[in-house]
Amino acid sequence: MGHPGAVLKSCADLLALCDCNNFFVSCERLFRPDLEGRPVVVLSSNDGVVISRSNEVKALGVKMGEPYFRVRSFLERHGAAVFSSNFRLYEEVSARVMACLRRFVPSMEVYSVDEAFLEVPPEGKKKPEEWARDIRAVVLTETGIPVSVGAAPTKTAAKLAAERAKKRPETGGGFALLPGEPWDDLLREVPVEDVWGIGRRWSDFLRRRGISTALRLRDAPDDRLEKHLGIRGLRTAWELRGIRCFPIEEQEKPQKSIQSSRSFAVPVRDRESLAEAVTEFTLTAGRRLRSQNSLAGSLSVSISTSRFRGSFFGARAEVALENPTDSDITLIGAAAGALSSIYREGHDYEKAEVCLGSLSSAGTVQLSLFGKREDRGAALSRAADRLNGEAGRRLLLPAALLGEKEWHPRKDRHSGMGLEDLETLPVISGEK
Amino acid sequence: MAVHMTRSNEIQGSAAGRLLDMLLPRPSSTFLLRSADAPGSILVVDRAVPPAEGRKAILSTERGLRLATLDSRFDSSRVWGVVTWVIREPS
Repeated sequence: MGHPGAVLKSCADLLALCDCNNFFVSCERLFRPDLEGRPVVVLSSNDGVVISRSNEVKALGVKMGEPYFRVRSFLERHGAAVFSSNFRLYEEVSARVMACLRRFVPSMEVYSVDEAFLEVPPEGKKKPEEWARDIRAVVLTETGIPVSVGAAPTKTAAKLAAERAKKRPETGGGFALLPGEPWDDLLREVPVEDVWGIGRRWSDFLRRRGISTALRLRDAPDDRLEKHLGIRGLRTAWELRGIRCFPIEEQEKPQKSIQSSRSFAVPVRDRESLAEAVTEFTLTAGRRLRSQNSLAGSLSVSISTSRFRGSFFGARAEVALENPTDSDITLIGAAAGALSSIYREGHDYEKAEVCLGSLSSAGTVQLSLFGKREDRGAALSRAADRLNGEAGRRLLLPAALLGEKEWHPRKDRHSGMGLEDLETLPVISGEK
Repeated sequence: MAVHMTRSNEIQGSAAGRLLDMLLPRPSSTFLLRSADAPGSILVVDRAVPPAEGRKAILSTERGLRLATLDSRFDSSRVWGVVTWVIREPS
């Protein structure tokens, strides 16, 4: 077999991944320099599991996704600061990081709340590593968030480059993975499950066949890759050869379905509380539906008890909506109908989920408060989005959701801070 | 009340938009903070402005962020951001 690495030639086309380091922890540390050097963790909603760790916590051996109750006393002994997740803050910080990056690149793809793929501008291609370190420095200065920047000809390789920049302090937070000898050396060191898009699903299969590293994946024969991993797996291997298969997608792709779900702080038994939770999740999903300018053609509701306590009960119902809609009123009605068809008394429900499916584009429909009934609902929902957006919190919501709800997530350790709501700005001490 | 750092097209060019451009010329590096000493006021802090002697600044300390006036011996690595405006009620 010819060496596939031979296809690597020039690096005329460079992209980069900018990855925020320990992002949620970095956000919590932004106004808390006293936490520098101290172990810090952020917990998932409901304070269930560890979802972000400072380097100190990683060094202590606490794993991602570790249930908090299991590491709680261990973390306390090490003087760790523990935070409930404050997603509004993380989104606001993320928006700043992305706005900062946008000034330095011709195009970019916001890949997640803490990652963006960047097109490297012409001046950056001459000295990509210097450029990567410059980007890191600017983002750190302006936003206060440390990032790692990895430059490479393909997204899959840029992921590996950014990981290297993060792990090795001597890179100064910027690393370029360019065709040549170092490319093979790095790929040889990377376990196959750490390759972007491979994960646990495929890595077990690959390892059984002796493909245990990124290098072996790159050099596996195309026909076998395509047969067992499909076109996505084949493209991943090509990307490791330096052939770009996944372009930078500037436009945010509308999601195919929208889910909103949560585990409850305390198990929920009665129909009314469960209905409130489902209504709340429907509103969250509806807001996301409108923000991506889509209409939903179907809605499903799932409820379940704990898998660890007592006998398990779970049920799901899907409702096809007569006309595709983005009106909260219609969606809430459909969700209530779906819930009553699956609710059974006598169970301690621990989780509920609302999923909007069969999405289509809302197009440029003119909305009127005086139009058809359905249009009024949509107009009202959009008005609520705008008001709540401007207020920075929920001013307008269905009366059923007023008041303290026992199923609301525990947020015992919430920093309560935001960047844009004047009521929740960080407070600092004065000159004395 | 929320102050959106990213400007929407709606307010661009309006009085509100121009006021925001004056107070927050660099949204991605500008932060609004409150001072415990003056509860009603808001500090506008720009992390991209180079610190200089005599300027009011926010310092990183082991006990948290502190408001200070920079003297000639300030350590720029301890400067979190430079205060560019103080919004307060007239006394």
